Amino acid sequence: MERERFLGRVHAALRGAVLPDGEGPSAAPEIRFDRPVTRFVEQAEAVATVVTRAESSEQVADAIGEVIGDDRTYVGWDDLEAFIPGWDAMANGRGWVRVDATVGTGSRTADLARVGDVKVGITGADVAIAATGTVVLAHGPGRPRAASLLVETHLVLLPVNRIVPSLHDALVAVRDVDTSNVVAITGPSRTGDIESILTLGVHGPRQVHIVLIGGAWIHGLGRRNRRGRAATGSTPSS
Amino acid sequence: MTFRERIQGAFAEGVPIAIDRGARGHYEHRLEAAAAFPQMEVMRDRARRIRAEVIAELDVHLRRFADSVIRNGGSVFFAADAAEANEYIVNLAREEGVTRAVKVKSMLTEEIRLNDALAAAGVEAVETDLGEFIVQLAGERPSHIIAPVLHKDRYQIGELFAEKLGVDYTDDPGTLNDIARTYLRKRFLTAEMGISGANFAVAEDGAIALVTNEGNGRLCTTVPRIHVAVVGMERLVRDREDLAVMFEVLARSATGQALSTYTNIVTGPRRSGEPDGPDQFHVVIVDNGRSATLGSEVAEILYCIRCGACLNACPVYRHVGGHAYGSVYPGPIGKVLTPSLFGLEEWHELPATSSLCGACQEVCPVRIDIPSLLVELRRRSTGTVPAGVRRGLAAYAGVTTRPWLFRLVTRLATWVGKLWSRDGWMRRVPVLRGWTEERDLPAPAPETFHDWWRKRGA
Repeated sequence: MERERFLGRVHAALRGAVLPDGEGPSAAPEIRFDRPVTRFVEQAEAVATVVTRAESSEQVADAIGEVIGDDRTYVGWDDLEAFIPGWDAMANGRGWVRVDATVGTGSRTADLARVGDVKVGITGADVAIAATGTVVLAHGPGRPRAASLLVETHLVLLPVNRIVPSLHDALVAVRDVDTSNVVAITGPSRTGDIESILTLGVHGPRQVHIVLIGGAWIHGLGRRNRRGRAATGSTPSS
Repeated sequence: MTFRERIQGAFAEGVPIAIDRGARGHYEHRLEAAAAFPQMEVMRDRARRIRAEVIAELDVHLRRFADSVIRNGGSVFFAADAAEANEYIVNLAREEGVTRAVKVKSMLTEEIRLNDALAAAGVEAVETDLGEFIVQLAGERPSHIIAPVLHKDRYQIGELFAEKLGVDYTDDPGTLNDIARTYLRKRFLTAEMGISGANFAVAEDGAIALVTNEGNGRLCTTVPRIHVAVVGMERLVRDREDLAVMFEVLARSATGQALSTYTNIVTGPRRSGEPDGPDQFHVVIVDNGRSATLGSEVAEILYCIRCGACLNACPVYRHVGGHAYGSVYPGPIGKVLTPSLFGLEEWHELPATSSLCGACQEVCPVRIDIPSLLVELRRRSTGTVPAGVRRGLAAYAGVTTRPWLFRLVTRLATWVGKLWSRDGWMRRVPVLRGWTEERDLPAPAPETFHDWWRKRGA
């Protein structure tokens, strides 16, 4: 149906509509936590996410090394330096190899097969939500969605100062990013479709590991990464 | 088939036991989630207000949404009905040489029977939500709007997989899950088109917001070359702030989760320099009876966000299961939505299948007054009440408005009670066979109230 006719029909219907008013508040209630980082970790662990706290570059490298194993290949974002200063040197030093995840320049199917075989994906998180243990990823150039989707294990690098209290805060923080996709991830892929019995790893990653990067050395980290993605507004206490 | 016949079919298959267990579980999880969230009640009030305000200016927000989608590089098609929506998608599939489409569970595509239209055009449509995949394998239809396979147990699913997928029988949910994962992953990677619904469409920035727990929503909107989102015209919110409020109540009401595993926000086809994502993004906005519903006394039903909480809370749904309703929308919400969208004449039975207990309204995240809407539909459908019921009610009115006749009939009833009852119960009453087939009828008191009162006064 032609657009104006469709909208005209809706407009006409509204004249006869019986629409009870919502008498609710004009703004959503605020959600705040005294200890947002503690809350984040509790909530993340409650949905089967593994959280490792790392306070030094060495600890971060060890945490990643444990996940990536002897395979040493991963698909990931090309701007991880924005989440861990010294990432490139660390990855080179440990011999980790980033598999190109660009899809569709040649054969889409062949590209997908190549990416789909990689077991580990490494991404940052633009913001994270204390209320629900969620990480929020704004995609864009250099940031394949596949890194948090096609892999068996998704590893997230999360500087502690990116934790915000609520979904509202997180969606507002990434609203102006120039991207075709934002995703908020709360734990590994799951289903209860068979007799409501919880099963992990249906279509998405079977495991989600968050390396929560804290300590004095992250204060040197820019509050904005190189594409100008907004970081967080508040400095949480743990 | 009548509602009653469908119920008997469900009972014969033993469906209600699985349904009751599943629905009750979801209901209890919702209670726990609401109790664990101090802002729940205020958030519901806010959510209701958001829905009321956006529906009251729906044409304005639809226009804004469509413009935003186009600005993001997507296409928008307005479909007056199911046929137009299906035709657009089938033509697109033909033009683009699509042979296989992967689908995210969408009640709207069930409503318009998109899979049938695609199959007729030679396009294989593969459902990828685990529950919906099982339903599709079995050649059935979903029995619950968020848990499509609530009516089957794992033994039935194990047998189904063994028969249809040629795997060894297993009833272990984890193994069944892995079988489906492997089977469907191949299809994801080779499908040219991904088809989704939308939990919400955001007017401000043209975003489609889609939640899943399994990740199939992200795969369908990322991997194939073309993404088609089929959106009911009422599923709009104004902006990101509104969207956040809706998500605060949606998953808690649906499954008792604070947030679904994946909250996926799609703003168009992939942009310049992005390594993956679809090259084409099409939005099909569907009316299919919604504008008629909007112009009616039951327009409030369009506030619905399809969480399924009312199904889980409903004593009738728990007793009979989703298939008994005969519509893609079962349960309390379906009793209003089905006759509103598809015609009260055909679906006049559904508003009657409720005791008006109000359990649905109590759990509804946007506090839709479902009982009042049911009463309104009953009022409008009095013309379609079966002749027998109408005669019965006329007789009842005749008796109760004539005191002498009322006294005579009640006195007769006490004799009937004395003659035919045992221990205060009547097991078979010829004119009330529908009732006494499944339960006993309490016998009338041995003395009428009038007689008792007169004696007491003397």
